[in-house]
Amino acid sequence: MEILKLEHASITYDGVKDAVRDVSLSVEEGQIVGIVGESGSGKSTLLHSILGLLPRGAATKGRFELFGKDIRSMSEKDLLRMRGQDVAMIFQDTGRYMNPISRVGKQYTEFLQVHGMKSKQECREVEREMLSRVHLHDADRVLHSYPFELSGGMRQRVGIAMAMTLRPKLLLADEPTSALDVTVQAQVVFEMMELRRKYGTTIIMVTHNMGVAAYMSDVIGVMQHGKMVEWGKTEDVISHPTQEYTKALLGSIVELGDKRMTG
Amino acid sequence: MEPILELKNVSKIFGAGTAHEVPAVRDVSLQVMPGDSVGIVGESGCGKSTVARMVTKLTDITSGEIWFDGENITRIGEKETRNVYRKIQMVFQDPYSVFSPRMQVGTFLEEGLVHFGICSRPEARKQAAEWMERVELSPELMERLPHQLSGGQLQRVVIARAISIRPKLIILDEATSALDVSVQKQVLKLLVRLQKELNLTYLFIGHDLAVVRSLCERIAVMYAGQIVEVFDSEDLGHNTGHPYTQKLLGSVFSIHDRNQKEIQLETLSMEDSGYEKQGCVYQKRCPHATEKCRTEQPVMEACGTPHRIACWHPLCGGHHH
Ligand SMILES: Nc1ncnc2c1ncn2[C@@H]1O[C@H](COP(=O)(O)OP(=O)(O)OP(=O)(O)O)[C@@H](O)[C@H]1O
Ligand SMILES: Nc1ncnc2c1ncn2[C@@H]1O[C@H](COP(=O)(O)OP(=O)(O)OP(=O)(O)O)[C@@H](O)[C@H]1O
Ligand SMILES: [Mg+2]
Ligand SMILES: [Mg+2]
Repeated sequence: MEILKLEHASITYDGVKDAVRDVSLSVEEGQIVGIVGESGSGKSTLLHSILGLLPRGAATKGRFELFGKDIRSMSEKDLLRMRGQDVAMIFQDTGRYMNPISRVGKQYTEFLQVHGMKSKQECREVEREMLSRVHLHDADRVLHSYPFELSGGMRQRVGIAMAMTLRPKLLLADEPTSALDVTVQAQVVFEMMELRRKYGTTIIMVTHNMGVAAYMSDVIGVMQHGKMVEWGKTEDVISHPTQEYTKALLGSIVELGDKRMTG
Repeated sequence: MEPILELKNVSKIFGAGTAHEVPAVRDVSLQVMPGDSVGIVGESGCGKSTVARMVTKLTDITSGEIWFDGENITRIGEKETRNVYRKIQMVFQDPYSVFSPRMQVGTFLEEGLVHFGICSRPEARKQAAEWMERVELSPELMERLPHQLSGGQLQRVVIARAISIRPKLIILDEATSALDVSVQKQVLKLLVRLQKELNLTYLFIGHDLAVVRSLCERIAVMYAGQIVEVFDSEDLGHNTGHPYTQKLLGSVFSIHDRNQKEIQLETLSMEDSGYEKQGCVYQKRCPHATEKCRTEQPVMEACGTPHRIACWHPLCGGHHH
């Protein structure tokens, strides 16, 4: 089944043209798609448009279809219902999407209750379980904290745990592991892949970590200047890239065996 | 030569005396020489940003001393603090936090230049534009507001401002993790070049071991609030000895080992905060832990220069001591 389909999708912001330019793509159920590319090339913009989260003043052109329905004609109510349950998002900067003056546990519980979980007790158990999956083991302390009392990577992990809780059909992940150390990153990569293995979750993940993209994805898309300049099976994109930009990107990866940089 | 920055037995306890006490930094000592670049890596939540925030006085210190440029800055007054902080700049993990939402990013750069007396106001616009270009940004973006830039674009504006006011020490807290690998490489090269030109000192916090290694001469590995190993970055991988350093190395995803890598999962107990009261901080996760590790805390010991390690059973050179 086709989960997401974009045809000639373009997005402009107030006064900023061409954040996304003429992108066409199709994502099948259960696929893991990795999107890599230039900083500022429109990756986050593209993900936000799928959830109907673009700011006022942004304009879209072309077809945006999710589960066979036109996203652009969905009402705010339909979108709200869909978020969290059918489609969940891990934001690039979780902190900005959290309420700074409300405890993490309270926000987590409210999120679960909006989506139908009733008892506080049940919520707490689910929360502790999900937090331990992303290696937040002192769950009680984390839930009792305000966002600013957590480290950057801890906040990010709360966002990841929340997004995975309701086993969404589609998981949109914007730089899910960029704030994490490599051991916790490996754990999160494992948990995302488990989500697909157990529940057939489709995942679209934006990342700068080419190793993670290569490891997880079936398909890789490469963005530059608002365009999807390359799209193909992971092996092909990594081993036989066709575009100059993709080659340049692959050639810029800093690896452990490299010499010290000298400027 | 005297160190430009020295931490002497620095600790930070958040919420001391409450039910959720966090010993975020415990007895950390570190010397940074002028012109040096020191990397800090370690588990998310292990206290890296807290160390950075104590040096820049955004978080007060529970015990220990911080020395900068020959001066004890642990408990100095407001006026001296301002004097010191034109010489220390910090690039934050979250770039949004340093902007006021209604200030154009170009103005943000200009203000820094003028305020720290680098150039006159009429000259500032031009210099700001040059700095934009140095970090691979089009000067056209200068009129935008912070929320109108992508995460990686904003991060580069912050880096540009930090360097532009010519401090002696720059603390970069995951400053390049929001950048694509190509821009990241450009920014790293810029950092290396400017370090030589302006004799800058870097304290670079990062998660990408390869990136930290390529920029820094020395690397400190932290775990649960403590430094557990310090070494010459060239030694990473073949002459490092802490089991946690080893664990980090084994967790890196490379585009070359697709399909071959098996993720080594660890299940920890729910109550495990990592802050051990007795013995080694890494005892619960360490495959080599013995009774001694559970009862006695290993102290930092030299096993070469600058190699120091806090472990009862280090794996240096591949065999146990
Ligand atoms: N609210 C906004 N108003 C105006 N322009 C914006 C807005 N948000 C983003 N942009 C611009 O749109 C373009 C795409 O931004 P986007 O955040 O999608 O990039 P990205 O690929 O996610 O980059 P990064 O890897 O740095 O996060 C950029 O040029 C950015 O400056
Ligand atoms: N203001 C605060 N109040 C209470 N606890 C705090 C506060 N700031 C940080 N902590 C706690 O101190 C510990 C260390 O946090 P810190 O931000 O230094 O970690 P970090 O190593 O930078 O992690 P990351 O890699 O995820 O950014 C964490 O357990 C965090 O929850
Ligand atoms: Mg983005
Ligand atoms: Mg941090």
